Amino acid sequence: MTNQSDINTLKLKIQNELIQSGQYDEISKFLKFKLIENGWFDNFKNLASNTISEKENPNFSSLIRDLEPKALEMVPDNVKEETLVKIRQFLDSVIDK
Amino acid sequence: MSGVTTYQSISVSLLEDLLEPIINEIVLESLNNEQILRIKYGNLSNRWDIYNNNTTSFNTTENNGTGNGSTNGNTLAGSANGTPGPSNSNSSSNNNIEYFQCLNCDRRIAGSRFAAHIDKCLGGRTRK
Repeated sequence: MTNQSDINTLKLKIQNELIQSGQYDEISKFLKFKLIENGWFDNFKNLASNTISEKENPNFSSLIRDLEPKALEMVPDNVKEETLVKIRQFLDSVIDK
Repeated sequence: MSGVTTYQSISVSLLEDLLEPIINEIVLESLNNEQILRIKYGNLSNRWDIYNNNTTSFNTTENNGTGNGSTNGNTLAGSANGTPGPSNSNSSSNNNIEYFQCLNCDRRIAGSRFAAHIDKCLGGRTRK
């Protein structure tokens, strides 16, 4: 049975491999491109600007705490899926080792 | 099977890891833009005041020649009627010190006399 610390170690290894292989950059660019294309980028940017301008003393950490869940929610399902496909392709390629 | 769920949860976790810097970048940039706007023009309600006042003063000077712009000349750098010096709202008590350039006749006019000057400069009120 896999426990949490095993999973964390595994994830760390995967993250290292992801970065080293250059796949992190590639998938990241792909994701960003999709988000722009889909309008998510502009939508979230507007949300962020509007939220910030209405705050007396906007603070980065509290803004992120409030805005990040909304940002994740706003990502269209098809963009999530397409990116997950790429991530899974990568995982498949490393796990076989 | 726990193997599949682990696979799934790691994928989703990686997706969120990828999204995080993108989100951070947008929030940071928006925050910076807001700070810059606040330094230049004050907070949001202030900016709306400036926008509204400038829109009406621009219209009235075009139509009737009455100089409304001078009341706002001290709060915004670059009002519709003239180019002011430092855009500091605390200087409203020093009306005699700040000079403004009338864009109509290119003369330099002291702040407290600007309204009267614009009044005459743009042709005055309608005489009947």
